[in-house]
Amino acid sequence: MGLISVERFPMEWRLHIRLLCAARNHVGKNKIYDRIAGNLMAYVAKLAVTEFGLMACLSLRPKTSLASHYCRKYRMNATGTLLSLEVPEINNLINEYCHE
Amino acid sequence: MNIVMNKYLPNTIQDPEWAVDSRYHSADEEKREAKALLKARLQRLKNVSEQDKLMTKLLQIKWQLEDYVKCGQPNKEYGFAYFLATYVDTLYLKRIDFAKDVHISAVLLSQVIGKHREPSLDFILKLMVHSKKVFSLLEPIDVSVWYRIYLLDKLHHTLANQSAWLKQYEKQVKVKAIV
Repeated sequence: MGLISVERFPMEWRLHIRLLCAARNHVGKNKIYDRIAGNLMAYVAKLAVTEFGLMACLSLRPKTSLASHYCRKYRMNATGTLLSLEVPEINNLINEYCHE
Repeated sequence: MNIVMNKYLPNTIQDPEWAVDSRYHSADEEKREAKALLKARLQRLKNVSEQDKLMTKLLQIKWQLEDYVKCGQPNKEYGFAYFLATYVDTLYLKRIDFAKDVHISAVLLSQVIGKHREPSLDFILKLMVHSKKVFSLLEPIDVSVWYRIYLLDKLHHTLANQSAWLKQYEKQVKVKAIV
């Protein structure tokens, strides 16, 4: 359904999403399953909180044209070209996708 | 990541939920951005409410408890005493207040956390009830994790000390030939 590649930065209490993709038949108007990307991100967010607690951070660096989508949909914070999720928004992401 | 462009894909490729490639091509740029992000994060952390901080710490404890049980492997750093201390210190400024809430003596609590004494069933049950009440306000927890972690610790300790009991029991236990 989807793939995610994550890099750990323990000294920064951060998990960085290097690659994220959903299968073609789960994207677009005729998608079979929805929220693949969100679920993958929420899984990584949970790993981050489990390991780093209050300092947990999930980061991502999408193309500039796509950044606004992530800021809007996942309430990510923008710092330069990096988007990130920390407490409390990271908990909101986990609540939304991990507790359906 | 190579993205193949063809007449069927051009619209899909713009879908942000399809693919994101956020790898860096410059180590300097990566370091610079990481530094800026850390600075911004530390600033934002100052605005996080005490409620959100407590909630996050409790969620961390919950998921660590669950992972420890799931893993099933011994870990000297963690275990019942570690998780108990973390749980109590997260919720209370003074450990004696936790002891009062669950009707146990502060001395007993200190001995269990210091691994000088094993927790009794009464102790574990009170801890389970306390956890259920705390996490009912947050996210339900399977409170049996506390009992399971205690049993896991006991199992690992027993198996790690086979030299103390194995020979004695080997003399007592016989297996008749089964034909």
